[in-house]
Amino acid sequence: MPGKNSKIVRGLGQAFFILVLSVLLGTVSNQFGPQGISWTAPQVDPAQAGLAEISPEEARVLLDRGKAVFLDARDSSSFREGHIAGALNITPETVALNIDMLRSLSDSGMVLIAYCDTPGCSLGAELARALIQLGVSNIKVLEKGLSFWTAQNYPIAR
Amino acid sequence: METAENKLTSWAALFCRIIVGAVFLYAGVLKAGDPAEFARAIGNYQILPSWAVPPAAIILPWVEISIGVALLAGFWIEGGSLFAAVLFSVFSVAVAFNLMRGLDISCGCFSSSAGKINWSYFLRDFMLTLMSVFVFVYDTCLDSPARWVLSRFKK
Repeated sequence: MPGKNSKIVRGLGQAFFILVLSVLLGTVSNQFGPQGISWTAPQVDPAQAGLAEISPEEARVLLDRGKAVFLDARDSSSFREGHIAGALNITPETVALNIDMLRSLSDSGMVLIAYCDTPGCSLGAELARALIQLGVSNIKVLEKGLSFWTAQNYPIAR
Repeated sequence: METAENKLTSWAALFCRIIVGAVFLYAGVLKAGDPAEFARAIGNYQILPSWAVPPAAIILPWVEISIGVALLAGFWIEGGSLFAAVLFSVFSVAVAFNLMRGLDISCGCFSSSAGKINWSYFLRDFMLTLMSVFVFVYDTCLDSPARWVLSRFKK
C-alpha cells in the first residue's frame, strides 16, 4: 500500500535526521561538558598491560585462607548492590587517598585482587595499573569479574 | 468519518506517545550526564566490540533525548516512534540474551544506580516496543505543542 510505504519512508528519513542531530549534540556535549570521555577510550586489557591475573578458583582459595583482599573498582552504588565478601570499594579515582592502607596490606603479604563486573569492564585493570604506578606490588586482576564469581555462588556480601 | 473507535485509538496512541517520550527523555538526560558510567554499563553487556562502546555511550543518550523531545512535542512522530521501536527491541534482545547466558549485570537503563537485570526489565522493554509500534501505526497527532507553536508564528 502506497500510504503505508510513504509513512515508512518518511519515518526512516526523520529517524536519520534524529540520528544526525544526536551525533552533533553528543559530540558537542562530550567536547564541552564536564564529564566528557574519550571516543576511543583504551580498554585496559590486563594481559596486554602486563598485569597479573588470577582465576576465580585461585582467588577463592586465597580468600578462604585469609590471604587476599579484594578491591572492588566500581562506583559505590554498584558496590552496595553486591560485592565479593570482605571487599573494599576502591575506584581508580580514590586509590591515591587509600594508598597508605593498601601499601601496608600488600607489605604484610596480602594479595590485592582488583575486580569489576565482567571481562568487558576494565576498571579492575585500571585500578591495578594505578596501584603499580603508585609503587604497590602484589596486585592481581580477577579473571571474568564479579558476574562469574556470583554465578559460581562464591561468597557475596550486600 | 471519525468513528468512536478511531477516536479511542487516537487517544490511546497519544497516551503511548507520551509514555514512550517521557521514558526516553528521562533515561537520556540521566545517562547524558555520566557517559563514563554508561560506557561501563554498555561494556558489561558484552555485545558491542570494545571500540564501539565509547561512541555508543556518547551518542545513545542524545538519541534518547531527541526521540523523547520529538514524541512529547509532537513533531517527527513517525521517525521518533520508529527509532524508539528499533531501540526498545534491541534493548529487549540484549537483556534477554544476557539473562539466558546467566550474566549478572546492572541494567544501565536509566542510571548507574539501576538494579541488576531480570525478566521484568525484558518485559518492560518489550511493552515499550509494542507501544512505540502502536504510536507509529496509529498516532494522528492529537496533541502537538510543536504544531501549536508553529501555528502561532504563521498568524
